[in-house]
Amino acid sequence: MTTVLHKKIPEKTRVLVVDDDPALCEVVADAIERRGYQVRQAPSGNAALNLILSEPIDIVISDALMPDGSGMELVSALKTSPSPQPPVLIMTGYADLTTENAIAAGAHHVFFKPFDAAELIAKLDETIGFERPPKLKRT
Amino acid sequence: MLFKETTFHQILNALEDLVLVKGPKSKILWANRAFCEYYGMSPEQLRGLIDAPFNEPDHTQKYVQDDTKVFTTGKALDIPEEPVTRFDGTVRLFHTIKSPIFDDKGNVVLTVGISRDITERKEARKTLEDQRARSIFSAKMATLGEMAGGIAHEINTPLATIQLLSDEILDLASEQPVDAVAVGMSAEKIGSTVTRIAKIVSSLRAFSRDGSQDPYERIAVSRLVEDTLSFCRGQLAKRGIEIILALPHEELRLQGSFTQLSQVLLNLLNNADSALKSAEKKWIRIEARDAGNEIELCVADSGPKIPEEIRDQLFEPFFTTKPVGMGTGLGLSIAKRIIESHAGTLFLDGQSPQTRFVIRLPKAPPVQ
Repeated sequence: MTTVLHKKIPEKTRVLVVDDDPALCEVVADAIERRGYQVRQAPSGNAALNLILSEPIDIVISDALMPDGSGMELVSALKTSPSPQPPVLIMTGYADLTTENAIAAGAHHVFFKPFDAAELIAKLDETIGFERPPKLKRT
Repeated sequence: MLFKETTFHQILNALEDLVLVKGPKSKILWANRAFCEYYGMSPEQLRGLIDAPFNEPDHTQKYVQDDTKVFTTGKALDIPEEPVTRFDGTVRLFHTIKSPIFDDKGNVVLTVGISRDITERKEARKTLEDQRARSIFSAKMATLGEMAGGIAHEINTPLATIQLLSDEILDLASEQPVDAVAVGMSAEKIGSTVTRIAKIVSSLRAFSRDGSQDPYERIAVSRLVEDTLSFCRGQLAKRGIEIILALPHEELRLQGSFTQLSQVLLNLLNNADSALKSAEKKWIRIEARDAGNEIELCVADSGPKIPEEIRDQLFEPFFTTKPVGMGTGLGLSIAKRIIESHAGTLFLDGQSPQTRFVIRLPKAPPVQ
């Protein structure tokens, strides 16, 4: 399903953060950047899709519901796309999106808002197969 | 003569209403059976009295004033509501009409008061009003329930921002030297994000309170629209629904209950939202205009038109096209009731190419 799990070095991993809420998009990007990842941002599912088609993106963290192309629409668009298919981690504030449904539809993981940086980074690391030294893990 | 005098007495004694005949200076001359039973006195005991000693002096004084008025004006007096004490001390409410009786020369010689007990009717009306207020309130709570998921999202997103910012501050604080500027910036962002949540919560609180006892206030239409939009705009935008506002430059003002009118508007917006689920083009247009003595506030949407055959049922209680658990079917019936209690009308514009609901309300009177 994914083509990027061999990348074990955060510095060489490009993460795309997608959210129509600019404040959240920025803090998620900051948190990921502080852990050494390269980060791009997009405000909608459609903008994210364009970016994925035009430049290398290894992993996507996307809001579930957005006006111009939702996160789940992005997941299904990527499934049928001949282009690279980075894993998509979904963020949602709604209770009606379940992890089972999202994963069945092709998402890699679901973060329920509000989540913390430790949870976000742990899942990101796990998805690209990178094991962080224990001292960096905050409790 | 058709009846004997005793027959007239019998007729008056057969009435459930209290009949009391008084002469000048409020002196009682005669009372029917119902009155005597209420006062626990015989006609002979009543004769010559102004009132029974057990009645409140204030009440008695008021009766005397009313009698005098009928005597001096020669016109009947309609007293919609007056308290009268029964012999056992209970006070009941009566609707009384006091009429003058004239002699051959046209002078008032007697007054006759006919009093009907309205205590039960009044209590029943009060209960009905309470029930109505409660059903309006429950419908509002149901609307909030339908919106709960969206509101949770509106709050969960900034909460996630705050969580990540506080993680960021902890990270920054663990570094040496501490980047005080960066910490300050993150803390500031937390503050502004809290304000954003507080705004949502405060409009929710304003909306969810029971405003049925509120006195009517002057309401600027633009504020009504903006405040109502404040807690659904985010959700509508999320679903790709464009909000088009067409409000006139000059401020239009209504007179009414803000929370109730906001409830009606939110209800129409919620319905429009549901109707747009599968629509290709998604917009909701809120339009206000000056219509002479009235203000017209319309909510139109680009969703499929409401089928002809269900239009008549739209405003009936419990009629809904939403799936089970998604709508109570009370929204529009309550909305109509609220608007009508504001002396306005709420209807579906059958001529419009879109689904378009129209609210017409009287303008607020000019400030003195």
